[in-house]
Amino acid sequence: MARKLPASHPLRHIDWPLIALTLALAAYGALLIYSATQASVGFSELRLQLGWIVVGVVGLAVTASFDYLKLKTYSGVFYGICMVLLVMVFIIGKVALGAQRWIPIGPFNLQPSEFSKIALIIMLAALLSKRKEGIANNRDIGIAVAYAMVFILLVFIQPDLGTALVFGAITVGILYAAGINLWMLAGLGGATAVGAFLAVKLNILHQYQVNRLLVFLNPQSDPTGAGYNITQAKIAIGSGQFFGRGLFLGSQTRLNFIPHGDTDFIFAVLGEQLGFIGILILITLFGLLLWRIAKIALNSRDMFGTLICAGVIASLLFQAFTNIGMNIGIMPVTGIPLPLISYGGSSFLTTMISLGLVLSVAMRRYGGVAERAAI
Amino acid sequence: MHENEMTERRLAVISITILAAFVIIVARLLFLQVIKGSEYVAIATENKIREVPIDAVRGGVYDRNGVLMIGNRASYVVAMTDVQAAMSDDDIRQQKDTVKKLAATLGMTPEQVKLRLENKNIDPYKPVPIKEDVSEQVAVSIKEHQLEFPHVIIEGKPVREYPQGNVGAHILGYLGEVTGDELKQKKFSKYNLGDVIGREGVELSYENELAGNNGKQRIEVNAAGYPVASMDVKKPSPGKDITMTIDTNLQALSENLLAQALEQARQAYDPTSKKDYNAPAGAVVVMNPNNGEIYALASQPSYDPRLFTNGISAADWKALNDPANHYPLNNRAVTNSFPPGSTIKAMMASGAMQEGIASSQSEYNCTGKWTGAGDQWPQFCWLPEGHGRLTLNEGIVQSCDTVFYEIGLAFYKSIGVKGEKMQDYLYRFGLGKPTGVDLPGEDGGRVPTKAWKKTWNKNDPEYQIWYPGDSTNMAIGQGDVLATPLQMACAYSAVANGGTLYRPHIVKRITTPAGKVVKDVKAYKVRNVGIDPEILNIVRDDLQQVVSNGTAKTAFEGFPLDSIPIAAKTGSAESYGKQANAWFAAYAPADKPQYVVIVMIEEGGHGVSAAAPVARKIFDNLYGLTSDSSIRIESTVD
Repeated sequence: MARKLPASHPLRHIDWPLIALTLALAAYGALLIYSATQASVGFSELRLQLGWIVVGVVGLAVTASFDYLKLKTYSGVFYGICMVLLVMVFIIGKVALGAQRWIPIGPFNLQPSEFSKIALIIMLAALLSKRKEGIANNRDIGIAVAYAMVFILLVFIQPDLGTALVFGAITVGILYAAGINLWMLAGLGGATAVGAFLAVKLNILHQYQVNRLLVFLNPQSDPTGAGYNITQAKIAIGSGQFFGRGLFLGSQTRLNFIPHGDTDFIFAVLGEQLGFIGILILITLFGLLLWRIAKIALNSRDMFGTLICAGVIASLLFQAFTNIGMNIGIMPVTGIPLPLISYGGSSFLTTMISLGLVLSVAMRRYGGVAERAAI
Repeated sequence: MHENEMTERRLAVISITILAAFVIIVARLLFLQVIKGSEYVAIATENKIREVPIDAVRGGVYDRNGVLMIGNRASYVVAMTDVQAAMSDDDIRQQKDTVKKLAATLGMTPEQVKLRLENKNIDPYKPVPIKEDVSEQVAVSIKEHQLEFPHVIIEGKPVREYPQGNVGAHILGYLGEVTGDELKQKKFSKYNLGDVIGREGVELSYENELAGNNGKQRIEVNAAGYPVASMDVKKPSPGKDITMTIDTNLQALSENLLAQALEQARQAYDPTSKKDYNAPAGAVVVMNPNNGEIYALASQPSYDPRLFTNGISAADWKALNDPANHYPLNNRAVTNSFPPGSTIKAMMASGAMQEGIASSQSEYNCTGKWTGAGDQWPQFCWLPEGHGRLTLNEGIVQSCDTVFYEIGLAFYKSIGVKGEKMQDYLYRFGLGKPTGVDLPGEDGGRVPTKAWKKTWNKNDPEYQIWYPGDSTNMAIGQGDVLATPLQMACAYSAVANGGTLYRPHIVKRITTPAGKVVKDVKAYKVRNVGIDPEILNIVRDDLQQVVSNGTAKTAFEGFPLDSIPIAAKTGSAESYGKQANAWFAAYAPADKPQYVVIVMIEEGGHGVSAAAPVARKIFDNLYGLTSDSSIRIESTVD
């Protein structure tokens, strides 16, 4: 049947390596989630995650089947919906771990800040790719930054510093790929630094956030409190040595020394059980995935697709690096999950949908059925 | 668009960024997992293993007849676990709630509970005690409502109990928690934070035997500190039981008689200081002169050892150390020394006769005032009108000071030729050095010498010279010579038994909990005092006459001296600036001594009026002359 399709048909250009890498990472994650939780809840969390994988694969496929170009038209709608949800969090949101992040929907907790990542990526990519000549002008950049700031501030006051930082990373990634003048980028960076300084000075940051940063600078300052997580994660990873202590083995995981071993600190579980080798496999898969997205960005038929890919790279790279960095003690604790690996529906589904977008860009690099809607 | 060079370049930079992140992570992992890996393995192992000490049950303390004096009883301790574990916000909220409920149940304020929780003196992996020794009712109620009290546990803990109440408090001693500073020392290596150790009395001197050895259990714990699996157990070995030489009833009697004597002395008028005697404190020793077994050792004021059962309160501790209360923790029979006054004359006369300075028939003339050391230094006999002409024998019976000034002067004169002979005889009788009794904090008393005086007054050159007055004063037990009541008991034992100085002891036997004898304490002869038996016979005759005919006669009116002859010596001597201490040293029966009794009353006045009645009543009881005597001391004459 495929033979009958025209050469430019999207189905003839499915990026199988991207799908394979994505599924491999999801499977790896599921295995680690099981390992981290089997002692306490048996199969139940694995079962839930497998469910999310199914949902995520469907989400990826559905997203990929749409021509991403159509999204350009609706970018404002998505952005608007997400903004409303982000505001609603304050009204009907559920408080957990000292922050309002979730909206309960039936048995699930919807985390609007996750889906907002996609909306933000689409919005910024659309704003910065509307000019035929390709390069966005300063006005475009100003508007894009303003749109980004609205989201950043909304999650920042939840307070969810981690997601605010991811939004920032997405913004920087897309601006950079869109060709922003490097001096301007530096200026934005400077303004952010001043803003952060003022946030600390004016006590806008919550004490626990400041503590996390302080403890990151000196974990021994509070080995049983805020520094505990970092210390235990490092012990777990270090004690895994080269080959690991074996899947399902290792006292740090088994005896609950690693807090949130299925979510924020799942990397420590991996480090303890499968060692350097196991981590190398994981970060190689991640590296290849990101490299693949970069390649898709390069081969995109338009700037919009390129910028979407750049946004997804920025989002995934920042999340992965921050999460791993937190586990190995080179980044502060920010509560950012490891994409595709950490347990959690919103995060997983968001990542799958963004990869669906990337796949959609890849499938339509030769025009595809959307040609008539061309630029 | 993708032909755009700028986009290509920027995507290349993004790819390099990805690669850089990859390299940073790998480099860090090589450091953590490969270079430092084995270190982290060690930390992870240590992380999960806890050594939990299992407290050994402390041994019991019994009197010579097997009457329990210190036992153990079960107590309930309310404690909280996982106090120092990592806590989430929810945990913290929950703990706050628990603290509030617990405070209400235990009758404490939440602040008090918090204060206990923050106690840094607790092994972080042990539950933190919130309240000790709660009633069974409280313990049961908490257990029944366990769900409302997460992390709260009820621990059973043996604590000391004293079936005889205050009796023998000074001998028994008390326990206290081992301090952080002590734990750093090697000799405390077997203890853990929170352990109790003996702080006074036999609890301290027999700490090693009583304490036993704690066991330990190595357990694997999870992050919350909950035990997951037991790895191995080393069982504790319980402490050994101690049987003392004390008779509980005699001990109680001695303490009561002493307290009464203090009360009475306080109503007697002291013509010297022109007010009633202070009589704040005193001591009694009853001993077997033939082997050094202590039958009773009383000290007043006393204290209640139960104050220490669950750790003493700050207020109680302050009161026990307040000078206004005259230091009730001091065991005055052992830890304090006093000028022995005329009781020293028995040793002094023995030494003088042995040395040939005097014989029993040597004659002296007492006019009440003695100027033998020169007119500028007159000294006085206690009897202002003087005893007239009298022999050494009579001098002992009447406790004539003049006779002993002469003896002191003679000793002084022999210093150049023979050295310090007077001091030498006192040493032989065990003065000037701790007796070696098995009780803590013993004072050695003092036998002053030329060398001592020189160092003692090293900043005061004119007081460094040894004058004749130093010798003559010492001969009547005044001035710088000091002895503990226990030292006097040993010295009089040597007089009574014909010259053997025994080391006194308070513990008779050490047994395992199963009853197997580990150690049987035998009489330990320190030395023979080296006085001719003939001379000691003379002195004993004189001491017997002290009671039948001399200075102690009034105290023994009505006592059947014919069947139970008693030998004794009175004494009265001031510590500088205070009223006279009253002494009475006695033994019975005079011809075949079974008991030595020493009574000393600080600032109590005369030996015969303040101290002797105590000894008299003790003898009354020892010989069954009262209707309610309940003392049981089997014949232990070796």
